[in-house]
Amino acid sequence: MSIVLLKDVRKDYPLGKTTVHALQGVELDISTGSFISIVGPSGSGKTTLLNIIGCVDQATTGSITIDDQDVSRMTDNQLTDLRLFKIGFIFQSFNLIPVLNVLENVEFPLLLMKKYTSKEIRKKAEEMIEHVRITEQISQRPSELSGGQRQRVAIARALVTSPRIVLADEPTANLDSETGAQILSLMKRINEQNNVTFIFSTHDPDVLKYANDVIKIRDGKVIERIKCQ
Amino acid sequence: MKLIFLISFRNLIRQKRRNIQLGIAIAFGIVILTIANAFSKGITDNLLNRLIVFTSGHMKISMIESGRVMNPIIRDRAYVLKTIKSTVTGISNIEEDLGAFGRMIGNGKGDYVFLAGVKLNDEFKSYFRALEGSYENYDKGACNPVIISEQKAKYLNVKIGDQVRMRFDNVNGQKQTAIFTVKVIIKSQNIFMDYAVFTPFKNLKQLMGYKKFETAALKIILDDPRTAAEKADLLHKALEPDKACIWSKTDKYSNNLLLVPFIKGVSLNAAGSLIKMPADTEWDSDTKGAVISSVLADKLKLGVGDRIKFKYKQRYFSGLHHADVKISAIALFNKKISPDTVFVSNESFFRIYNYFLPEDKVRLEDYIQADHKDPVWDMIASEWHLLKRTRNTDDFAKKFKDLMRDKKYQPSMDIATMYETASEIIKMEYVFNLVTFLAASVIFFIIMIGVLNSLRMTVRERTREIGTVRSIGMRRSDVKKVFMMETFLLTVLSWLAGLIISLIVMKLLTLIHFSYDNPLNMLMVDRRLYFVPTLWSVFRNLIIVFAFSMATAFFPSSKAASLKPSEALRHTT
Ligand SMILES: Nc1ncnc2c1ncn2[C@@H]1O[C@H](COP(=O)(O)OP(=O)(O)OP(=O)(O)O)[C@@H](O)[C@H]1O
Ligand SMILES: [Mg+2]
Repeated sequence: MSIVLLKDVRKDYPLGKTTVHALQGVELDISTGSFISIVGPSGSGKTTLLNIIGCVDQATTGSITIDDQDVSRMTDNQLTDLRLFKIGFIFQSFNLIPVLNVLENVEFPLLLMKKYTSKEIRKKAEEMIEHVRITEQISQRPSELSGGQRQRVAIARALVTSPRIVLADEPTANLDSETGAQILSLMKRINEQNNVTFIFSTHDPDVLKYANDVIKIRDGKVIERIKCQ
Repeated sequence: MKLIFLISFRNLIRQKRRNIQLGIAIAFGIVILTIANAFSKGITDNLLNRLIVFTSGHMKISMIESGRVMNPIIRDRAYVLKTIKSTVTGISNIEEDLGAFGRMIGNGKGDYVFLAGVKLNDEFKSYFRALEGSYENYDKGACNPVIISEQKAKYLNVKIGDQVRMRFDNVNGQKQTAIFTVKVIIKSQNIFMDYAVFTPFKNLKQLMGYKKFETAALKIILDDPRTAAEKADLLHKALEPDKACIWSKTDKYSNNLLLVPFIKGVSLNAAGSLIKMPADTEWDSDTKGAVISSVLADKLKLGVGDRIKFKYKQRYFSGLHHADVKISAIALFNKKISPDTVFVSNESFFRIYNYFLPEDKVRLEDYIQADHKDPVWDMIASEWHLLKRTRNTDDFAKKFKDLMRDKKYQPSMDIATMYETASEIIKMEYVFNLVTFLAASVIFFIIMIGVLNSLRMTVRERTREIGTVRSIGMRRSDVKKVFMMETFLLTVLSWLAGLIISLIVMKLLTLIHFSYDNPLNMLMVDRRLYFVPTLWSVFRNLIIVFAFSMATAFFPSSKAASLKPSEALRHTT
């Protein structure tokens, strides 16, 4: 069963008088529960692709179906809610909210959902923090954490809402290799335990070990899809 | 909402320096504004509710006879009072306004003073604090007590217990000398008040020769002084007089006579067909006495130069009043005018009428059947001459100058407001309010620029954060709310700080004691600055500052909310 389905997706950026064709007809079918890595040289369109899958950016043409929903006709609020309820984001530079502590950062998306009581929110957040093993830092602000700890918080924040898909744009790029490996194995564990689809871009060849699918892209086109294992 | 509040609040603290700077600017603005408002309100209160109340009142009804503007007299106080009470709403107080101007002699020194008759209520006692002597028992004892300002006492070289003498005109225009005892010396409030010397109302009323049912003028103090003009207009309508007449009996004649006054400077030509004088009669508009019909002359066997006697019931004295008036002409009356009508010259009529008001009012139409448009009606004077309302000091002064020149016996009634009698004071209030308004405008302009700049910087700095929260799933409207909330919190906190600071500053400023010669003295109370911070003005300022800052915060906040998440995430600082 596919959770992400892209058909002939193109993305053009106007750049002065010319146009940058960041994506040039991407076809992609990702099934639920996969752990997918997108690789390619710098400027090949990885970030652009993830943004389109994550509904933070819109394709110029082509159709995008996320969890059986056609996103091309959605309003901004609908897209926002789709991101909130179905997608988790992990960023290269962590992007935690600096004025909130660890617990509050993790609670943040739950509060936006307006679905749970504050007790439930607290419980979910604490469980998730436990899960990524940063309980000791629970009341610290992001600026007081190491890179690895920050990314764990980011993962907790991305997962606390139980999303269907987690998108991670070079999640290990700002971490040393050992910490990066820990983060990836954490993500992998969660992927296996919770059947959450993970899609992440990377430059790191080590990362590929964890992926079950590797999608190679170049010049805005999928040039190869390698099944691992 | 809790989340938005939390984030806004934390962000506010994050950018401590910038926000403190902006907060200080806003607080400073609030301080200026609050103090200016309170000061202006203090002046207004001082002027409108104290100075004007003690001087001219918000409204003043006075009646003048024979052009003697310094000695106004309302003969029928009860009627005027009744009319005021039934037409004017929102009256806080009606006071009889009594005063005499003249030279007061102390110990070897004299000075012109205004002697005001006052009723010593608590308000008076608190406004004019006793420096020497005391208000207790001050009107006990034989002599007329006076309350005198510290400055005036020095000038007249008098102390408590000393006697002063004063010469002034009484209500009948005769010179009068009275002796007073200095009982209380009060603190000088301001230049205006220093001219005044006070004495109990009762004593002065008697000294000046007013009867019990008479008064000089009536001051009306309103709950809302600003409605004075509109209320004066209403009252003016209600005090429209009827035609004056005396319905009287005469001996050896069964019919009642109706005496009516000519207007001053009357001309008989207009009514030529109704009243005809024999060709050889010497009569002109200045001729005193009565014009009677030939029929009546025959009946009473009276001729020109004889006096016609009559008597009538009075309004304020028991028993009939006996009076007579010289016959100056005998004329032929048309059938439409009853031969029992007696036309009396303005002066001769009001010389009797003013002093002994008649009780009975009759329908003049029973005697004069001429059409109401007939000029004969215009020849008959009213009970009083109601002066036109004026709107400013110049017109008001001119009206009174004309009155002094005219010297009519018929009373003239005037209804004035503080806008005419105290326009200088009111202008001053206006100027202060204007200055406050201008200061406020400048301050708000500065606040607007400050908020705008600060927020634009903040939005730029937090672009990536905006991208993050938008990706995670915060709606546009919530992003906007965060920024608006931040400005809101900043404004409210600064307002609070500004308010507290301004209260402290005002308290400190009131501790300063200004010198007596300060020309701004009359704006002060007890020679100290006087502030009246009202709850309303405090909250109005909050609302104004709030509205301004929100309006300015709106645009940068909207811009922040409309950022595309993908673009915002790419933003590098
Ligand atoms: N907002 C934009 N305006 C103009 N061009 C853009 C914009 N975003 C991306 N591009 C262009 O689109 C192409 C794809 O960019 P993208 O960021 O997706 O590459 P990437 O594969 O993520 O590269 P990297 O590995 O360096 O992160 C690049 O040529 C980039 O210059
Ligand atoms: Mg990229």
